[in-house]
Amino acid sequence: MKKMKETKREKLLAWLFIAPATAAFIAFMFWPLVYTVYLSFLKWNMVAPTKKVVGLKNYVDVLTDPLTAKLLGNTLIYIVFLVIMIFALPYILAFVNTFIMKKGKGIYKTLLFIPSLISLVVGAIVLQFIFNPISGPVGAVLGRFGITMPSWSKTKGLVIIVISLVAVFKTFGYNFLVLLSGMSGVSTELIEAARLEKTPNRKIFRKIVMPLTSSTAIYVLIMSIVQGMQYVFTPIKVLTQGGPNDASSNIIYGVYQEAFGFYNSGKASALSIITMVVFLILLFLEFRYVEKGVYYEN
Amino acid sequence: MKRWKKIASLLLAATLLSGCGTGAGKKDEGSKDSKEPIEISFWHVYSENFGAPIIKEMVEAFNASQDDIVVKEVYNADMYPGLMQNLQAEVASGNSPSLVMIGYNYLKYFEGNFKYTSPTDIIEKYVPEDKDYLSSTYLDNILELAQVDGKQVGIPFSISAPILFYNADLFQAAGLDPDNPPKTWEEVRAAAKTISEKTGEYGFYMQEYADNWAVQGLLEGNGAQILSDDGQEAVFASKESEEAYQLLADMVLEDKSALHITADEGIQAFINGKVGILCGTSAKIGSIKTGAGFDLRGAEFPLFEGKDRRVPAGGNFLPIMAETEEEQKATWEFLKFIMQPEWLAKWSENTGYLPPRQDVAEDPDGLKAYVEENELLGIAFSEMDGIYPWVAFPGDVGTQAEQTFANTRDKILDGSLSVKEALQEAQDDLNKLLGE
Repeated sequence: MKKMKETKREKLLAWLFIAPATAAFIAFMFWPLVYTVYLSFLKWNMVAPTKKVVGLKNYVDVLTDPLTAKLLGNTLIYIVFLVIMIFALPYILAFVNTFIMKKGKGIYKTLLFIPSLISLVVGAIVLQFIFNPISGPVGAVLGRFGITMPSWSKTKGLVIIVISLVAVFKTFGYNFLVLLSGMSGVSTELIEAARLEKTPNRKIFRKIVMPLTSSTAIYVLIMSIVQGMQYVFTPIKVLTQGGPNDASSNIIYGVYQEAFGFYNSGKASALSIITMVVFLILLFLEFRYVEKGVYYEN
Repeated sequence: MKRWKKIASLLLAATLLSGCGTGAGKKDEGSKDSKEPIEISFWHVYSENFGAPIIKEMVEAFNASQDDIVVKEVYNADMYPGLMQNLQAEVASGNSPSLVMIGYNYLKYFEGNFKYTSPTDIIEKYVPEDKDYLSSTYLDNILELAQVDGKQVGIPFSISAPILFYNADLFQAAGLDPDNPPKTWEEVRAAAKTISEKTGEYGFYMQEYADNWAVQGLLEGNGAQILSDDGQEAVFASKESEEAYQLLADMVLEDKSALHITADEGIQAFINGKVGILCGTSAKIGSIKTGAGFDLRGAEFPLFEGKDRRVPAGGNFLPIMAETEEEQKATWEFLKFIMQPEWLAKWSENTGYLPPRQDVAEDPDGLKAYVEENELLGIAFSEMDGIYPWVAFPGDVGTQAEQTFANTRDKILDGSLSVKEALQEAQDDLNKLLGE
């Protein structure tokens, strides 16, 4: 009898403890989500007193609009490029820094981390100056070699790469540090044993370090994708506003522009719900197939 | 220990209470000798490094000049779209500022979606002695900038017009006469070609923000119309537009004498002496002048042979959103205060905007001396009677129309579509949106 009371009390206490966090979650995550679903069935400019119910029209519009395919395609290019630049590259560099370099490790750590301190807007403006094809230093150097620098801000494809560089600026150092700390968990005895058997570095990386750091790596990979999507927003807004002809816009900027540029809250909501579904599917696949192969120390 | 806690809490309580007390006390004092001052808020978009110091100066001077009204200025980041977003949130929560600053391209959207009081209504109801104020103070074409279907939504405050900036050193190097800048678009094309052939630098650049402002000047200058007379239909895919746009496209694609690049980059390149002629907004006079290390000169927006000048106005107007009679009167007082020549002159000197009153240029208290020294602003002034509204598409379509125009420009200037096809496509898209 007394025990029952005790467990009841504990249960209540448990609920009480998670209540503040739950409340915050409901207020700032779930409620907006529900509201977005609601908005996606309306035609409303966010100030008009009347909200017109249009059913699934917004979804049909989004799915039949050629712009949506373009945005998704651009988003994919951003993600692929960023995964290479802010996941694969720092992964390899972290390995080099931990297991191969003998001297000057600290200096490299610091140097590679410093760019993360620059704000995105500042980074974007600096980059714009550096890459100005007419008057910037890169253009001038290329000019010496007789190469005319293409105007990246108006060139399809190239514009995505240059804009991504701003996000690379920002996240590279942080990802590098996280991966580095993952590497420090790998016991040096293992590596030394492998070295004694003359295992090449490439093989050490693939067969020992990668499996042992997979939990850190998967975290950085997912964060790279998520941040890559978000961090390119600022440079898009500052540098190209999605241009030329939407060639640098991604799905997040597309939603923003639809909602706060065109005051089309319905279509913007529909687009963001569709995006969420796409990412839910990706997340499900990740849990189903990738998570199994991940090694967690504890 | 316990005692300390007690004392501390007592002290805390005392300070809290006294805090409330003094607040209330002040209010009482205020109402003793006169009636309580009315507080009004003024929302603007100018940051500390562009315009805000003058706005603050105006507000402080006004507050010091009388005891009945206290104005609070509120800065909104991210220019007009940013202010629009904040305004939406504010109105949704049941409040509204007394006076706001709206970009001309948001005119119809603002008019259709927000509650405001027309200055003509305020004059009629509360201040009949000001009944000639509007017509005697402002030019008709300037008042029209802030009208929808003949109704005065607000009063124009800042005006920018597109002008030509040119690099006289590059003109000289190309063997062109720097005292004789191009006057027509054909001359601009010829000069640009000469500059790029003789000096290897680019001849011409027309600003490419994510809007249609400068291009509108080009098209309308050739007699094209953007919207039908009733304002309900897009009609810009015409022979006149095509001709005018083709000229710009030919400069970029055929002569390769003009740049196709984003606005910030293009202006940077001009400031660095890499472009001969820049067609851009007069609001950039200040920053271009500070940056340019060459003989910078200006000329009026080019014409088409035998046609009149029509340049679109950029900038903003001030509608009154105050709701109570007292607040509306107070806002009107403040509005009239900042529209005095001396304040408008300060504003223009600091920002490069044109003032809405032409007499400011001749007023000795105003800009007379400044304009005489300042060729570039003088040029913008001389265009003032050719200023027409920046086309605002009806309903909620306005901002989307600007984006469509920007995309169309990219399609034309990178050569992926012919001018005719691109304009037709844009017109069809916009008319479909207008029909929804």
